[in-house]
Amino acid sequence: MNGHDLILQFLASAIASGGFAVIFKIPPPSLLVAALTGAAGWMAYLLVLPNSGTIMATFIASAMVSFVAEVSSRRLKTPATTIAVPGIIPLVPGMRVYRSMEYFLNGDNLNGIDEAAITLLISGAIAFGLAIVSSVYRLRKKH
Amino acid sequence: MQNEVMNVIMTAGELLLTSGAEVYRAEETMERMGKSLGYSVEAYVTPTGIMVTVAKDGYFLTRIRRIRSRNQDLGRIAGVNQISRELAMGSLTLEQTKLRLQELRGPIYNTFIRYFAVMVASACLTFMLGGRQYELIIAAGAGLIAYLVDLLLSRFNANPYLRSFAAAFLVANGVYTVRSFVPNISMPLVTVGGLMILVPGVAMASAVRDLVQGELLSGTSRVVEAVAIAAALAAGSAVAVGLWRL
Repeated sequence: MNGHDLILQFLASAIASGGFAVIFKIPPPSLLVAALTGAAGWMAYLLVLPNSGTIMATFIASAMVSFVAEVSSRRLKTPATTIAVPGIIPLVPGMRVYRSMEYFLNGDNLNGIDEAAITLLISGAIAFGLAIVSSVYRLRKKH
Repeated sequence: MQNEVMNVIMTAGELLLTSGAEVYRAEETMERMGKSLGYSVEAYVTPTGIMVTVAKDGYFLTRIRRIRSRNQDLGRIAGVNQISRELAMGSLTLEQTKLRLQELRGPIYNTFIRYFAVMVASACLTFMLGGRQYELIIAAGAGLIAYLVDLLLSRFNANPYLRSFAAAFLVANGVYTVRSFVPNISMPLVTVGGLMILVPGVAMASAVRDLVQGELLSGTSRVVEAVAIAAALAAGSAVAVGLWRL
């Protein structure tokens, strides 16, 4: 992927996350931050992807989103969820769910289950990325 | 007085829960607001109901509220959070708190902006998946259809599974119809881009954060909710794809 593509991907992910921030009714002060958080996560995903594969890339990206959300939500005095939720949208494996559905429809159960299992692992990676970073932030807050 | 405090705290908890907030956030916020008002509050919250006791000088008031529908509204969560923060700082009275909570019920973006956001977001997601040219425009339309179907059915009190199923079914049919005029578009890219706006992102994130907090019951039930909605989306498009192959 060359620099030109990377810039387009950055813009697309920022606008997509920003759009979702509006759909989830996030108030204006956090909109731009939510958009940039989504873009940061997607950039992390694209950079890790070629060497480590989808699941690892998703984990790193989701941790990145969670980290940016935790840091900026303290500045903006808003719950971290409001910024993290639009940020993880680009990582959601919608395409794999669709492909898995199509395999099952074709009677190709083996590939269907394969695709479904990877979807599950990717969802798990998103969840763990979010969970681990927010847990670490909880530690720091209490001590 | 105790009744008034109960009303305010219950309203805050209900707003949080119906907007898709984490259960621990609802509990913490209710307890903190009660404390700021000089009452000791004990709250037990699940995704489908709130139980709360407000106590002062040996007098206890307990109320239960059932929660039957949940939306995805992060603005309200942020709003209640802000009000609770101001209350703790002592810059709000009970009456003002009540008014501020009432104001939160109104929408913050008008319809046009929301439709525009839906279309742009759908097009961008399709672009990120590899879609180009016409596919982006069709994805924007698909996203708008999905959003409108979801909105319309929620007016009729439809549950999220029916809403997702119907939206996915109609979007996939719409994309097939368009494809008979514009043959070179990729069916999966456009459908997925259009349906992404119905992904239960808030439920999923809240589930994770609840699980981390040790709220196992609420965490697991929210995961099930999110998975069921995703399954309804897949099923809706599967039925449409199956029908078009007949």
